[in-house]
Amino acid sequence: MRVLSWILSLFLHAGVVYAGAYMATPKAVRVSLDTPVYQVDLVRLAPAKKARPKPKPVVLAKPAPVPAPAPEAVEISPAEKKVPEKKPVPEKPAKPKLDRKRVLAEALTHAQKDVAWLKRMDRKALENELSGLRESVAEEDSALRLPGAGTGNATGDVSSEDGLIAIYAKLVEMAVKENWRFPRLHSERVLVAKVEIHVNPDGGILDYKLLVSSGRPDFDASALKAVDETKQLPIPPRPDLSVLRINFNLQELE
Amino acid sequence: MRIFLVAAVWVCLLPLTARAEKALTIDIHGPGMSRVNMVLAAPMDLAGRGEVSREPDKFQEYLKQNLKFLPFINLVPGSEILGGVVLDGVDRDRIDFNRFQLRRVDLVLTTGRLFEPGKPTRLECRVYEVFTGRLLVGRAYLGVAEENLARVADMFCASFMEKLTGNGDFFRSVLAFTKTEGQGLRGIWTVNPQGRGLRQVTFLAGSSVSPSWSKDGRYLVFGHHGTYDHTLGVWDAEQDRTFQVKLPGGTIAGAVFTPEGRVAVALSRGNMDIFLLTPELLKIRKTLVRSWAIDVSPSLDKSGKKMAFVSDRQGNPQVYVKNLETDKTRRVTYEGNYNTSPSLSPDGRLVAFSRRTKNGHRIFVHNLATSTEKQVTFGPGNDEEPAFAPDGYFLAFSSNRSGRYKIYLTTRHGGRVRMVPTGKGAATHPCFGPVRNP
Repeated sequence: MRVLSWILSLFLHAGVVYAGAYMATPKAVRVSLDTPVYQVDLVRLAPAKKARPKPKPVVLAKPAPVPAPAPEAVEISPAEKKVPEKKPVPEKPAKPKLDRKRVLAEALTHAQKDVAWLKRMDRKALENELSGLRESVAEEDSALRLPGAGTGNATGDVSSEDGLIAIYAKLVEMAVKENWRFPRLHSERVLVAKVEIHVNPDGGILDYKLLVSSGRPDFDASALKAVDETKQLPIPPRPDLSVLRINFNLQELE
Repeated sequence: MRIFLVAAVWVCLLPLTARAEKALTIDIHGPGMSRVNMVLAAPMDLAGRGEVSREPDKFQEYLKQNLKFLPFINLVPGSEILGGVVLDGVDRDRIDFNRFQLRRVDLVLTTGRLFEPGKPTRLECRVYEVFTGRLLVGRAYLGVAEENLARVADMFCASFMEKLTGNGDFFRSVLAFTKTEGQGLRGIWTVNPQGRGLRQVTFLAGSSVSPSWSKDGRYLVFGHHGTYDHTLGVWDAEQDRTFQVKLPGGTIAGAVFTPEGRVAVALSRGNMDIFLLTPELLKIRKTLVRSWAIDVSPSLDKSGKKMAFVSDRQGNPQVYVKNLETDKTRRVTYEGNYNTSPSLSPDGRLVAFSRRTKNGHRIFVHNLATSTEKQVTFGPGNDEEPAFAPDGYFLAFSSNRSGRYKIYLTTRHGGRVRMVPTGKGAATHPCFGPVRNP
């Protein structure tokens, strides 16, 4: 019973360690060579082609001009001209007399209100400008993070390591493509074969296998042959980069 | 107990080994080399007497002539193969593919003949993939003789091309064209695209122009310009006879067979329009294109539903396509002010035509789906009258790049241009048709 509990405990611990390691293992890097890699100097960000949305100018709240009422077309006959009757004018209330202290106090209150209002408007203008800048930066960021544009990580940063991997992928593509021979028939048919290659830290091809067939044996054979004839690939930028999966597409990119 | 402990430690270490491996996915679009290397092995005697002969083999010569027309095949000389091209046998098990692989050869073609007294000669032809040793295509022909060797070579190349591209009709086709033989004399000739079987089929005084084949390759319709009138000529390949019909109109400016075997003709009846004739070719059954302007040079796709033609209804000659089912007409060409001689591809997706440029006439191919154009010939001189092959891949056209008009071949993507040998005399108006089986 004791032995059994020992074994059970060991397997449980192994399972926990395995799960932890699996979660920590980064996913396979996938580089699409369809789109160019961009490097962005974030300090001296070049002005984007697209005009940034200008912050809205601060406009002092002015009373909206009331449009003059459109003159109604009324037929006026000279015979029926009426003399408008004089309306009785209401008597104006007598103004209270203002003393010096009261005038000063009122002026001070008005001045304080004006200053507070100006501060509020300044803050609002600044907020507007900042939000405009944030939007334009976000747009540029999203443009940089288009599918396949670079190898930026999840936070959108472009690390030098990812750049190296992209360059390495391009070098591998060039090396294998050079040995890939297949009639360029410009056919409408889409043929794709996926080949997995295992390389050693020096870039030598250890073995390879067809992962996904195109459905056409001669096309699959041409892809495997291209890998076979390549034999040596450039040295990987990282020693742990030992598996390459190459999609051989018959269709050229237009 | 110890075993369990070891197993537990191994299970614990497993994720660490898995973690060390990192994968990178890469996409490659299009092969780096669009031509595959091919070698013709020495012909074998299937009775087991080894190589047939070290003399140049006529069948292999025909094969080489044919394969040189395929722009995606690069023929590697046998002298470049380590150990030569003499094989132990034509079967896969008796071929050492490794020495071909050293020269980066992709395909090996083997031929073997079986001579048995009193029996028809048997010829076997195979193409193997060097890398896998897989048989790509293999055919055996019985009753092979000197006089049908070229035909056998054509048949095998058609099978080979069909295996590679899905369509081998190029090697099952025949070209009709016009050839000037003297002052005012122009007749219709036929030849296969490789330049074999050159033959004159019409012998009428005057000019026979714009030939077009029927779907089965039995009839050839053409316009004939005589001294006094224009007639419609028809050559019957089965009976080797030509007859002429006077149509109810004046000038004939292009005729074409429909898939049903009717004839559509551009005919001037006060105005030059395009009509469908009755089966006996004497009357007009239907007007296909009518406008106030000149409408000429009809060309149909394989289904007969689309028709390309030239019209100057908007000021200068431009190419139009009419859907004969919906009666909708669409202008195809907008660039240039002189676009003529349209040829619809069999699938109706492409229109090849001749455009006058500042450097002379050039052949362009227009994609009807995307409305994009591609120039496929570049002179010198004038390149005119394009005609699609039945496979929709090859294009024939006439050109005076060598001083006199001759027939040339290229593909719908342009590239290498090859002249079709047609003998003396200016050759024009090429038109592809199917080979009629005897």
